[in-house]
Amino acid sequence: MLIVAICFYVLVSVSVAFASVGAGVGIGQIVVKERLVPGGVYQLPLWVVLNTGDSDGIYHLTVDGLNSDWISFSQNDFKLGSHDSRFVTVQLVLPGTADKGVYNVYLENHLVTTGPVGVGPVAATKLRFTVGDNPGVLGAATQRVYSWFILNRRAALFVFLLLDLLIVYWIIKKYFKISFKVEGRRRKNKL
Amino acid sequence: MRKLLLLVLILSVAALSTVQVFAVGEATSTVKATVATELISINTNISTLDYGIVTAGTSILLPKEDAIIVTNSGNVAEVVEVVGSNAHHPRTTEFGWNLVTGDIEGVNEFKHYITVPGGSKTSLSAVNYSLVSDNLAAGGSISGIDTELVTPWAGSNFGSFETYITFRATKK
Repeated sequence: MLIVAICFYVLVSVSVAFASVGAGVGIGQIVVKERLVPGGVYQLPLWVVLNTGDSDGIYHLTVDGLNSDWISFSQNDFKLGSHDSRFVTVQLVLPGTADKGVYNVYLENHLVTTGPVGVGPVAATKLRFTVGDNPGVLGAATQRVYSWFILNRRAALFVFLLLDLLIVYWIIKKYFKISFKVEGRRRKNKL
Repeated sequence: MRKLLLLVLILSVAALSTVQVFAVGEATSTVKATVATELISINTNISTLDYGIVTAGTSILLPKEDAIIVTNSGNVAEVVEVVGSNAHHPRTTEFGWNLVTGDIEGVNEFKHYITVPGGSKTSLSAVNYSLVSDNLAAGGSISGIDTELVTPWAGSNFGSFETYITFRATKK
């Protein structure tokens, strides 16, 4: 009671930094059509993030409503000038233990604020996806390898091509005898 | 031996073909999704607040004229929510003392509240979502958002107080 009596409200002239600061995203909602498989790695549509403020800022990308290990951003904590934007690649990495069901999460673009009380804007893209039945350990591992091939198909193509060439070379060398002879053209002597 | 070699060759070519099929069949490795391309954007007129040195046992209210204004700077109606944070523990930094590594007794008595139009006073001592507006039209603004700092009646606690308030805009 004594404390209540002693406490009082005061209005003070706090120090306030006035500036139009902002954050934006170029996609309002992403709804994944496919039923995703635990263990899989999926690339989401290219995400655009913006600075809609009048001053430069550092932007931090996060996910809300989901374990942050499930989402990876190609870049993070970067500087954006006033009204600048940037494309970010987002990957959804489902663990083999992912539960079946519908997931509703937010991909967030935060303006990093500093100071005693930071007041910051966050723009978020709604992301909705469905995880199907758990295929078990072997199935999840297979899905991870499959995803790797899908996401790195150029590298996979190169590796198999190289392997094919090596095998063909080895077969030719072992079972065939091919020799090349380079001869210069003979000149006819003009008399 | 020749049969084995032939088998390896066939398998390798099959694998190569499979990868090529993927490459052709999947024009892009991006997952199939419905995407709503629209600008979801939010601006605030204040980036930082500094209450300065506050007397213990007082409650500091941000003056109305300095109220935070939140603007929907996107091109569609949005839902705007306020996101609080745990108040960072105050650190004793004044008078040359340096106790930055230790928590100070009674710090939990520091409370930071935010009051939004149509909403109740919400403590930011825990992460909370409090609806500000469920239909903020493009170009529309919300004002009259108050923030209040309540300090404990414990003169021994002094130092800096840090927290953050964010306004999150999402598609309606």
